Amino acid sequence: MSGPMLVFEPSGQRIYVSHATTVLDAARSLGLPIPTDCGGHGTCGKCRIKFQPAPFPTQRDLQHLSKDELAEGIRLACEHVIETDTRVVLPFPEEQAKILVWGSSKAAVQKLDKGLVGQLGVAIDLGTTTIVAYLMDLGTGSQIEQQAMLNPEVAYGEDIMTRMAYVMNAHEGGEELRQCVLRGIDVLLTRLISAAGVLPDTVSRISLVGNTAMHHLFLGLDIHGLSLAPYRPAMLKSLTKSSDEIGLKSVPKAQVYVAPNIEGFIGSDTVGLIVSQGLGSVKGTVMGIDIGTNAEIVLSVRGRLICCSAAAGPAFEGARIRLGMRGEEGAIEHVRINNPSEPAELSVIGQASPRGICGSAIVDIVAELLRTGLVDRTGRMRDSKRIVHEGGYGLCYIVAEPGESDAGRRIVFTQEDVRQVQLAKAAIATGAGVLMDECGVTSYDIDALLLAGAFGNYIRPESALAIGLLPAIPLDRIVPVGNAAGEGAKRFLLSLKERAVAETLSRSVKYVNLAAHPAFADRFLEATAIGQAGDGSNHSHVRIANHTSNP
Amino acid sequence: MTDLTDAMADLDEQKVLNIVNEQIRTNKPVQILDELRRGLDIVGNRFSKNEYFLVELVMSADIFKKAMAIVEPKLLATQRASAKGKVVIGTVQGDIHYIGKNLVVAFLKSNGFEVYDLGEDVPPEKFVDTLKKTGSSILALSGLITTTHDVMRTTIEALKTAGIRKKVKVMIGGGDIGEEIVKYTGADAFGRDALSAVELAKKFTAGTK
Repeated sequence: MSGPMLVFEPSGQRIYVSHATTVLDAARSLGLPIPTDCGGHGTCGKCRIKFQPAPFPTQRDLQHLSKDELAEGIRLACEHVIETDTRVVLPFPEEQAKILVWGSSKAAVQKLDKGLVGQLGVAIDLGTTTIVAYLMDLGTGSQIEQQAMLNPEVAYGEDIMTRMAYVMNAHEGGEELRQCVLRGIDVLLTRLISAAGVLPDTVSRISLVGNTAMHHLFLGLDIHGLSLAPYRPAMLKSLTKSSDEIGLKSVPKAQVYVAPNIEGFIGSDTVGLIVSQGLGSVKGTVMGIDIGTNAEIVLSVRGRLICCSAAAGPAFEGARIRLGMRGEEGAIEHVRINNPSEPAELSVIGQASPRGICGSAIVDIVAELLRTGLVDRTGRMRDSKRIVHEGGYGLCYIVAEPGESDAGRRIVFTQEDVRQVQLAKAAIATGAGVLMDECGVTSYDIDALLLAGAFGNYIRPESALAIGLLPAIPLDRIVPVGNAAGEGAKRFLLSLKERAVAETLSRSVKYVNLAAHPAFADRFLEATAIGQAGDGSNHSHVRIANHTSNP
Repeated sequence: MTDLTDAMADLDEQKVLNIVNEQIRTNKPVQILDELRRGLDIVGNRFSKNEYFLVELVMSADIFKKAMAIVEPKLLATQRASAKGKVVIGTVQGDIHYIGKNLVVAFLKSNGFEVYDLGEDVPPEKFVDTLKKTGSSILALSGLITTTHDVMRTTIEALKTAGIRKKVKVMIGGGDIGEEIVKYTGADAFGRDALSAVELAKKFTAGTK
């Protein structure tokens, strides 16, 4: 893994490149199409893509690109080899991406606000990776249109922390990201309005939920406190402002409601989950998990709420997995190994050859490797017909050879990939375990486990249970609820009463800081074993007691 | 390779302790220690090759510690004091993660380094003070979150301000760290894991002697 790392957005595919490989060549080696007419000789000027950080422009860049483009970081892919870790953004056909928009609500139907007949509103779920917006009729409460896009801030880093580091180091970085996300939301709003054929002025309300960092970047708040332990947010409470004050241009008459956050790592998207699923008033024991780079976990025991955020890392989004990618065309989304020495059965998104592996398949692969004995519970791969040494990467499981399932190149899942899944899985299992302990319940007590968010919606629950990512509960208690945060945003859009509920609940939820929890490290290490605890782990009493903590 | 080295490498705690208890009566303690360390090297090797994972690493450090509890009292005072070098270590201010850092501590100790572990969320002044007080020539900074890279940089600048930067080699480790971050923070090197931290510490001390 010599040389700097090149990350392609929006798919998130990454490659380590030598100083002789141009960005165009690197993209081609991954099967990512960048249009060129000249074949990469710097003459056609078509392979323009955005670089972050942008290299010094070459003569040909200056020839083909406008001043504005150059200032934006656009360069010709064929003209540059990279010297430093770089992310580039490819032109992205949005219709190819799988973005989760549906959601289901559990709680009783709310009271719509009166006097809004004929007015429209937009509920927005501002996620780290995607933004989803729903155009709603405020008079009837019904949905008219929905639109989704990748969060354009991805150009500044896939994960929250990288974006925050950018904001703190770049001159006016905070304003740059605020403008970036505002532009994105304006694009979505404009699309909604034109798709529905309505006038911008009929949109009188907007509600927005998101994690605390997205919330801060959207409002241009100071993120210094949020960026380092103890991760103190600048603002938790809700806010209502005119679209003009917020900086949105496409809907001049709208009042924008930004829902309250719970903690530095638990934002209003979790409040949306709690409210839309009625977790504040359930009779039994219900757990809700929204899995992303951070997994927000909420446990409700007869309406008493406790939550935490588990640092799962981006493995389930395909990052840090050698051939990982987001769920878009060409991504393998499910894998089944019928016979360990035969090719696996794959399902691929879209009518395309498989070129990478997305989160749901990543979980499948580990579950299937465990089931077929190709890895043991410690995560170690075993030599076998489909497990080979591949130069520099150690042991690899061959998901597909060229030709199998129409693959254009060999697709592997490496031993290191298994390790990354173990870390991600351990973080989530530890979070769920700690919450259950705090409430004195076990997995037997859980009446329902709600999986919110894209990953939770697309994974095979069987696989997630098999690797121990989720608490050991019967399969039929697992309920995918889709974009629960978005459902919450809709409620906050339609009803001031629901906003009041959000206000109260966001203050009454108990927050557990996992990293500072005394049992965290030991539990985390135990949870790195693949499978459910009690499946016969050979290392169930590991200790890395922290004797050196500062008082 | 001896049985003891084998048992250590295979993380067979009972066997390790049995052999150590038996040999301590007849064998030289230095010899036993040497065999244990060789086993630990193999563990490190297997970890680097991804055959072992974090749990195995923690187990190995734990077994070694138990074995040392038997061997150490028998070592001559001179043998005990033959520390390879002094290392000050901690998770930088604004971060409270410690699993990786504690593994580095365990492996440095088992390789004969004298380690001053300052814990987590450690302010720059505390690193500077401890470096001065102990005369350590190696500083190891840990930080898991991307935003701690800036804190590492501030910490290393504090060493410069205190006028001790030239006397101290600085290694960094944690999440998302590479050559770029070494440059950015002004450190001397980075370690991918506990084993590379030990390698770096050895290299640093060899350079200063």
